[in-house]
Amino acid sequence: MGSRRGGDYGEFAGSSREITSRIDDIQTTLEKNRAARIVVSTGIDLLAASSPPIGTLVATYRMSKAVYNIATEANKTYQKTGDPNAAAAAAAKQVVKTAIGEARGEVISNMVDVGWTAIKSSARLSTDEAQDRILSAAMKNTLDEVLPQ
Amino acid sequence: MNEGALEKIMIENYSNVFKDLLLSAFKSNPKLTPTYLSQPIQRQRKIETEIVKKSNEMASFLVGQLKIQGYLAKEPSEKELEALIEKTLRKFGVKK
Repeated sequence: MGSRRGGDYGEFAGSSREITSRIDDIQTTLEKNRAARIVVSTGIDLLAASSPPIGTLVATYRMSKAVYNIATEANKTYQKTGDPNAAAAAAAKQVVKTAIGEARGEVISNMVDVGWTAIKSSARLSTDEAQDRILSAAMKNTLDEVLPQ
Repeated sequence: MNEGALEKIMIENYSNVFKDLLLSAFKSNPKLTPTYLSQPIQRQRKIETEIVKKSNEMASFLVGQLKIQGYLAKEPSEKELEALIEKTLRKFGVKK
């Protein structure tokens, strides 16, 4: 999932006429000082016209299920211990089969960095480096939000 | 599987990914970034606030659609998922 539409984000703009046209639309909204909501809606049109972002959004589905499994493990430990650091450590242990650090925030960041290959494999993701950057950053933020605090 | 917990995680996760993709479009696109960065800082902040708002709305809408179709319990095919993603982007893009 996600591999077919993989691509280099440096080439996000690509060369297709539609993508070039969408970028021109955004430039126009910026230059004409249009309302922020119009500028952003035009940016959404660019995402819709570009393959790599859609591939990343497809991969996000499976990645979310991997986050769910990690969060479930953390919650089990939190219910037993009431300790958010222990909960994050249990989650990390499930991912990388070893404990990483002690502080909750550090554990989350390290768990994703160290365990990314394992997470990708368990979620059956086939993504490129640029997609990995976006997905792993999103995963850290999501875990920070959903793991016990 | 606790569907409520999965739904919450999926909304959070999709919101983060939408936000990053949109910010990348404005801030890491060689053709667009110079124009974006030439905007007054206050305007850039306004656009980024709007990106966060729209990302949350798109994530809620997309996950709502996944839920309606029963795709929180059952995994959709790549084509089915792409169709819902495209529907979401069309809904929140510029109406033409």
